[in-house]
Amino acid sequence: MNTPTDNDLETMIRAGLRRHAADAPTDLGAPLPSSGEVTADSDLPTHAHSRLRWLAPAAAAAVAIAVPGGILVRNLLSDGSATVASPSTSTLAQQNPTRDPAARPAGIPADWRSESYAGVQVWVPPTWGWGGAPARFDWNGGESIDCASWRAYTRPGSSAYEQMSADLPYVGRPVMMTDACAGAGGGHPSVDAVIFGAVAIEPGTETYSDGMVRETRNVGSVGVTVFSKDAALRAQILDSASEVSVDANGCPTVAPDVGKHSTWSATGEATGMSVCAYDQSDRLLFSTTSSPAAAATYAAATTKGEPLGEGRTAAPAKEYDRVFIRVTLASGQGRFDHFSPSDGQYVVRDAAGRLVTVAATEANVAPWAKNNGAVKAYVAGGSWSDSAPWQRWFRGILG
Amino acid sequence: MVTTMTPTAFETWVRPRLPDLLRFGYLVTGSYDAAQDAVQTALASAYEKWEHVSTRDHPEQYVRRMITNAHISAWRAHGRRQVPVAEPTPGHLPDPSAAIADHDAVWRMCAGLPPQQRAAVVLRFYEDLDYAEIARVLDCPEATARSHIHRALIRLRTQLTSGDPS
Repeated sequence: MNTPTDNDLETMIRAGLRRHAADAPTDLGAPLPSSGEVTADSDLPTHAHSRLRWLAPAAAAAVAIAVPGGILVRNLLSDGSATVASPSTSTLAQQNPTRDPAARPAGIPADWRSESYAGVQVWVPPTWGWGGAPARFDWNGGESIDCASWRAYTRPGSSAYEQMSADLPYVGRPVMMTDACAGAGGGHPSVDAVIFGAVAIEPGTETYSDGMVRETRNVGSVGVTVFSKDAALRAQILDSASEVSVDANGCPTVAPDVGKHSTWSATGEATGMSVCAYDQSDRLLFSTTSSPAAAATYAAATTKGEPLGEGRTAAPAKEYDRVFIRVTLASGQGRFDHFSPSDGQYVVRDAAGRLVTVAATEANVAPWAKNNGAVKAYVAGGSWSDSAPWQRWFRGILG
Repeated sequence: MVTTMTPTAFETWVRPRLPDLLRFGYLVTGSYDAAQDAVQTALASAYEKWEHVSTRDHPEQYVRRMITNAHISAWRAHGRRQVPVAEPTPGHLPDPSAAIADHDAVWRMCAGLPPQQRAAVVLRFYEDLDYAEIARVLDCPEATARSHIHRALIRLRTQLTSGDPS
């Protein structure tokens, strides 16, 4: 066909939209919020059975929030002169009947790293990458989407977003890694893998025709599944699983509050940094750590900000995935900064105790996002990053 | 004028606008259920803040922003929504097939856009807003709004001329 002009296209779009607008719903599918049946509850996960949202009692949100984050986060980073608890000495960890989250379980090699999801932590070899897991999405009618080969993945130390590999074991989380998964058939990994929270996988052991073995255990409310032909490896990983309130990277399982849970001093060198990412259900999605040098670079690049505008609060909207940067100082003080992947801004409690916004720059994003395979796998950059040179450090919205 | 936060005031404002909001939600989300969800979410939030929302110069635009944001939230939670439509057929087609194919091409193009960009297209070509108004609704720079539209046109042109369904 002849190349259409802009006017042709605009005409076509107008006509197409008018045509499709006729298919729009004619009713809301629920009473108006003013009908008295409504709890306009911003705390409810936006995707959690949203069609029931308006009838959901406030108690549902209260339960979801109250266990156990409010108390636990307060203990992690307290107001005033209290210090940032290190994971190994955290009151949280001491309250938790399970093992100290930073303590490496017996038999776990020294170079293995921790991985946590929704309050469950395991230890895996350092070379393992990150990928997806079978998940259920309401836009798909609640059907389980099994990404067959679970083929989108990232590697440690790289921001490359790659396709199926025959040689990369990985950690999987129920995240839509790529739209290419939709419509894919079922399957199982052909490499060693541990996946969290996979739907439609029951506890137990299953052997596939290719010799791959699946072993699944429930740890708390989260299913942990290991795929491997090596029984010892499966046992080693599954035996390392434990429930945690703060994981080995210092990330609480419920998102912190920048204003309440940060202490900060103008003096003192940043000595550590963790990335703590939460999904819209307020679950800790993943965490990683960066080097002390990276922490120092990051802290230096987030010192200048603008006071929060009127009407804005330190509590970020829950309708977005949220990333918190946990910075610790040699003094023991520290802070949680909120980074919004949707608009590329930080909310930081500065040295004067004010809440300020700090625009994302390459200098303050690189220390934790550059060549961080976990960030690349699970943090989608918003439209702000379309033209930014560091866009490649985040996952595209379509995978 | 300050409108007090009463069900009556809220309902009085919402009811005549609900069909328009649902059509906007549908075009932005591309899904019947998602449109209802996005509008529900936006109205729940608007009701909660009605005393503030109702005093804005353009509450309609503000609610449309809320609808867009609600959809962006769902998008981020669940990834790209799949909206099955017929493959656009390249080349000359006689009417009425050509018009149907064009409509499907538009729908497919929209389905492939990130939610904010898609909302910009709907605001520009369905709501007939200018770029400054689109920028206000989407809370983005005007240049970004222009860029959204420009890129959408490029995408549709490419799709029509190459037969690329993506």
